[in-house]
Parts: sequence; structure tokens; C-alpha cells
Amino acid sequence: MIYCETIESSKTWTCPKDGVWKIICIGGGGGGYSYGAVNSTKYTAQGGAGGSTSFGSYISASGGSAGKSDTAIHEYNSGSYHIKGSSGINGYNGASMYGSSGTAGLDTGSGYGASGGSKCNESGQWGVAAPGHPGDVKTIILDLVSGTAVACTIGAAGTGEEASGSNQTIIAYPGRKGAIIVQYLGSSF
Amino acid sequence: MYAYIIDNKVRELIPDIDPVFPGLDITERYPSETISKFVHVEDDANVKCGMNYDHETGTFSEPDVPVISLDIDALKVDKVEESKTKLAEWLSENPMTYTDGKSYTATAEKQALLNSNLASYERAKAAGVPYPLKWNASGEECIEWEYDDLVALSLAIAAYVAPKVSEQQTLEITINACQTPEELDKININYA
Repeated sequence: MIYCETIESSKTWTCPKDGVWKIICIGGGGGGYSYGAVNSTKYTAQGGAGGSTSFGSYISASGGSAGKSDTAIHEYNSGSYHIKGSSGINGYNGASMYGSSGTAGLDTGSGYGASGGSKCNESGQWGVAAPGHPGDVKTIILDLVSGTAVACTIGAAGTGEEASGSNQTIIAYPGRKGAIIVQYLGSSF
Repeated sequence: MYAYIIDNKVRELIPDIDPVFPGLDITERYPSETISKFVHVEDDANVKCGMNYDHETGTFSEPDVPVISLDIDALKVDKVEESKTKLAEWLSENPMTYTDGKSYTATAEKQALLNSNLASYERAKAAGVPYPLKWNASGEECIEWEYDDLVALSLAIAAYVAPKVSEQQTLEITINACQTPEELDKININYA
């Protein structure tokens, strides 16, 4: 028997068959962070952290933290703050480990638990933009009995925010929600 | 509810009872290793995501507000760039009305094209080669112009643009004289 299910919304999962099961938990991705000035007025857009994903009492994966200013400063600072945008980082099953590079802000990465990027101003202004962090990924292999009911909690996507009044230029993009991938590996150990 | 603490910060708030699993205790929804990082708080305890948590005292506090120090030289570069960008926008949005009653685009690109056109005519004339001199008003098709008339138009456009360019240059001097970000913030760039 081949069985693989991706759980994308919280629900009770019932084991359909005795055997060895591989469970992959992916936490929700964090939203981005953006801080800058538009026409000499300062704005902040702060995304939220992703939610944790849990396969009952067996295993859980925490959500990714939201972007924050000191992340950008420590990683990109060279004395000036011209980080116009940051890309969201791809999550599980995304195309690559990191989001694509670019000076223009790109929004949420692809894949479960991807993080949100951020956008900060057009030319002629200044600002700092930082992505959130993708959700954690945890894996476990279990020997389950048919009929076992497991509460599957799917981590929510970290929220995004658009700074009101910033003319759509100071934006923290949301993350992507987590998931649980359930795979049947075969009969018992 | 439970505050999920990671790196001394509240990462997530988790309800005592999840409505998706109404009969299940927290211990049936999360592994013990994860629950060990939960701190139970009352629903009305005003604990929010992002708050700091002190494990020793068991108390929560508002997160630190990051202070971003500003590099004044970088800010000046951006402000000067802003003054040039806004000048270009103004010129694009405010064509010149000429003596013939028509509007003529006065952007830097259009001026360069016009001067190039005139220069090509002059070279062609010197070489004894015919060169049709054409130009267009905004929103109209190109028509043939006499050389002297088109020179007069180009000079009129240059005279129209000159005060705005001078304004931008004055702004640039003012911007570069600023000593603090607060002084820069007070400079309002408006060519209207």
C-alpha cells in the first residue's frame, strides 16, 4: 500500500493501517519587517511569527520568527540603510533553500512554512527591510496502530502588515502556513 | 492560554482548548518537549506575541524598540536623488505651452532628442545632404519645421526648464549642508 497525505488544516488524523509511518511537521513561516521613511515620515511594518505545527503529542515544529530590524542591521549593514527589499525564504518543498535575491521586495516564498519578505521604499528614500524566518521542520518515524487518532495542529502563517499612509511602499509580507506530511513506510519494525 | 517561549520571547500564544479539538488537553496536542517551553498565563493577562520573558522572575515585558542610527551621508545621497527624481516627474507632468498655443514636452530626454535633431540637421547641411527637420507637440504627430523656428523652440524649452534646474541645484546645496537627519527631514522638495 502506498499512502502519503499532506495535512494543510488542523484536524484529527486517524491511522488507517498498522505499520511504520514517517511524519514531517513544518511550522508556519514568519512575516517580514520593514522600516523606512516616505517623504520624511517614518513608518514601520512588522509581520508576525508563524505558528507551530504539531502531530499530537508525538512531535512538533515551531513557527518561524518574524523579521526584525537588528537582523537586517547585522547581516546587511555597511554604514548605510538602503535595503529596499528582501525576499521571502522558501519553505519545505520550495524551489530552493533561499528565496531569490533582488533589490525589489518580493513577497512570500514558496513551499510550506515559507517566510514573508518585505518592501521598503522606492528610490530617493531610505529604509531597512528584513525577511521573516521559515518554519522549523521536524521529522519522526513512528510505529502506529490502525485507528490511532492524532490531533494535527497546523501552524498559521505569520501575519504581514502594510504601514498605513506609506503609499504602499513600507510592507511586511506574510509567511505561509505550515503542514504535516504523513507517509506510510511499510509494516512494523 | 499558554505562551510558547523561544529565545526568551513569546513566539506564540496557544489556547488551553483548541476548538478544532474540543475535548483534548494540551498534553494530547503537543509533545512534552514542546510543552516544557510553555508558560501558562490567564487569558486576560495582556501577554502578547513578541514580549520578552524573564525565566528567573517569571515576568513578561514589552519588547525593546530597536533604535536605528542613521548615516547622515547616505541620507543626503537619497535626498539629493529624491530632488532629481521629483524634478524629472515635474517636467514630465508639466509640458511647456509655446507661442503657437501647443504643449511641448520638456523632459531631459526630450530636450536631448531635440538638440540631437538640430545637430544632425546642421551636420547634414554642412555636408550638403538634405535632412528633413521634424518635431511634434505633445500628443501630436511630427511635422516639418524650419531650422530657425525649431531653434527658437529649443531655446524656449531651455528657458522654461532653467529655473527648475536652478531650484534643484539650490536644494542640493542645502541638503549637503545639513548636519543631522532632523535638518534633512525639514527640507520639503516641491517644484510646484
